[in-house]
Amino acid sequence: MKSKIFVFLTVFVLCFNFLFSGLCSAENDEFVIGVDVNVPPMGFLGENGDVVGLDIDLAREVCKVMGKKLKVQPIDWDAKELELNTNKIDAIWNGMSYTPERDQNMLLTSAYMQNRQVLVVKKDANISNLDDLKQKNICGQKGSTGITSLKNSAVGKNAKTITELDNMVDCLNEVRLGKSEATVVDEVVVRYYFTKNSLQNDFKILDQELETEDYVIAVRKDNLELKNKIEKALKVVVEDGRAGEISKKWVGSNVITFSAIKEKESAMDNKNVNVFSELFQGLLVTLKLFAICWVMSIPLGLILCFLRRVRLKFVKIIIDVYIWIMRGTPLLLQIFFLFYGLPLMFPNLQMNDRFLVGVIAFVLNYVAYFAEIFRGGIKNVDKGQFESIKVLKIPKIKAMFRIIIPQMLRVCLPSICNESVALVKDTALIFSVGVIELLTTAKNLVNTNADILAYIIAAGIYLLICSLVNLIFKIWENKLKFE
Amino acid sequence: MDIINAINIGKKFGNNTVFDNLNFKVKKGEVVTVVGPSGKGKSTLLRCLIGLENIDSGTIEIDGKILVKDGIYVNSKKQSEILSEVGMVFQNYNLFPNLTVRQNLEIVNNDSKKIDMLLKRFGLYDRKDAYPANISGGQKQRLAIIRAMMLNPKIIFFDEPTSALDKDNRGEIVKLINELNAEKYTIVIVTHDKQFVDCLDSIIYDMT
Repeated sequence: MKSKIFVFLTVFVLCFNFLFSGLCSAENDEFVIGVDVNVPPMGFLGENGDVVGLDIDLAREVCKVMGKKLKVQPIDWDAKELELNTNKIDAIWNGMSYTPERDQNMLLTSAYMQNRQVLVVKKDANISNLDDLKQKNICGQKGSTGITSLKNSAVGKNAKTITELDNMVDCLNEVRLGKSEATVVDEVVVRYYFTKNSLQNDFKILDQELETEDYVIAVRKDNLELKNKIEKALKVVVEDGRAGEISKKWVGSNVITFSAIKEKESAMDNKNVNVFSELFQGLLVTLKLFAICWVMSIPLGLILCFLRRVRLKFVKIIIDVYIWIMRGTPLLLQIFFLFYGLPLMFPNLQMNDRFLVGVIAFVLNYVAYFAEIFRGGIKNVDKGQFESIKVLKIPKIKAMFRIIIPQMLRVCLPSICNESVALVKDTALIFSVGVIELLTTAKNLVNTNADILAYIIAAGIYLLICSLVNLIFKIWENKLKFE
Repeated sequence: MDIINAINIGKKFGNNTVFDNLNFKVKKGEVVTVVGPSGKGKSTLLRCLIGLENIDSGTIEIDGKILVKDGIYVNSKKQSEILSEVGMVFQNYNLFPNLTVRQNLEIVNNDSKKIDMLLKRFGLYDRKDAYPANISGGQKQRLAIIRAMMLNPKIIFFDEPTSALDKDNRGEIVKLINELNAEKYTIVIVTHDKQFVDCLDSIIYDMT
């Protein structure tokens, strides 16, 4: 017994230590940059799982000059301002373009490179500038910055057709096959792609660009000292040629320069965002999702539970496997699978209604949980009840609804209540397929206003909904007392 | 005439033989008490006669109709037709706790005239909207008896009718059984309560 207590205490102390060391990890000689790991070639996951990229190499050289150790922290891009302002990271360094909004929330360095939206044509094409593209077919990636600037430009307006394709590789193939004469692409990305696949001799990039973005590095608003240090070190790295080498390694040419930001007209008209009305919009989505999922999963769970009792072995096996998978894998993964995975496996199953995909994923998941709860409930119904039903020859369906289900519900209600409360909170996961609900709204508000008020209000709203759900179940439980 | 005629019936649970080559006959209008120590298969016999368990061998006839011959049952539609001649009052009554007294009867047979008549006769009319949890043990038993009568059976089975009652109520159940018998119901009672058997004017079938 004593040794058990000792082991327990040791484990406890170790855990505590671990936690504590985690909290105090920000050592002074470390320079922590936050990156979204999905931005090749600036920062992305390399073959052995490390974050690699042009920005990472550049930051490492800058760190050497500053005498610090580089630490790369993957972050959620939507929460970058928060990561920075809560001291979790020292800088955001990840092919981040300059915007007036970012300039207001953070302290930005001068631009260290320009990314241009450029046009790519076949190497041997008889096209050398933008004017040559009149009455030509041009393609671009659906939803990209490039396609937007193309449509807004004179080039786009004079083009014969504009085709939107799924990705850059498809666009380049269009050009190679001659279906389009040119494609609009992100310069840094296309140069990286050319270097990686040795395509420099197949295509050429026109000199004139459609639009230019400045890439900058952000630090905390009050951290002028760090900003100056980074700029000074960057200058050193650019001037002694190290930056150029890094650039050549990744994109085949030197795109790193160092220049002050061209002042741009602020696009933000300083409107005062109304926290309450925005949160209310999010709340409506959350409530709608909850209500639909709840109303659908409970009856379906009940049906599944009864189907499982049918004397067909394969039905039981199928249901058991289904429940096993649904309860044994993360709900988030199931949502991803439904939205991204299924269309890859079965192109006909392309579902573009994000809310609907969310609803289906939640219902599929919660049906499994409810079916299990009901299974427990049915086990709790006295065997004598079934015998009475048999001897009295009460029709099965009637017996089910009038006798078995009410008695099951009485046993199950506390568990159903638990799951319902969990569902209220789980609705937040639908953000993963891009539906903006209460929590995402709150997160965005906190990010733009740099004020946690929205979080507090959101927490209050969740508490309120959950309390209401609890209350409704309490009332329902009292009704099912049968006394 | 035999209303129940079980010939050479046998019942096994796995390797455990509960009874074998058992003969059990009941004449129309009789009161029969099945007695004997526990574990001898009294309750199993009763459960076989009301269709909750299947026998493995032998023949059972109820009211002249064959339910099972040499271990082979007739089809389920016929079974259900034949078994509608039997009513059952379970040991712990197995009332439906989520239904009121009246609803417990309605769900079996929605003959409201008959329900009202029986509720009045058995002194349950003023408790008709109560839930089973809120009525006394004796009232529960009477409700279980009425419920068994709802399908107009010819035979009513009782499983240990005195086990959940105190001594004062024993006289009442004896009176009830005699009343039912006077109305031409055939009664079969499984019990190990000797005093109760002594109070009844019945044919004793000993399973020792």
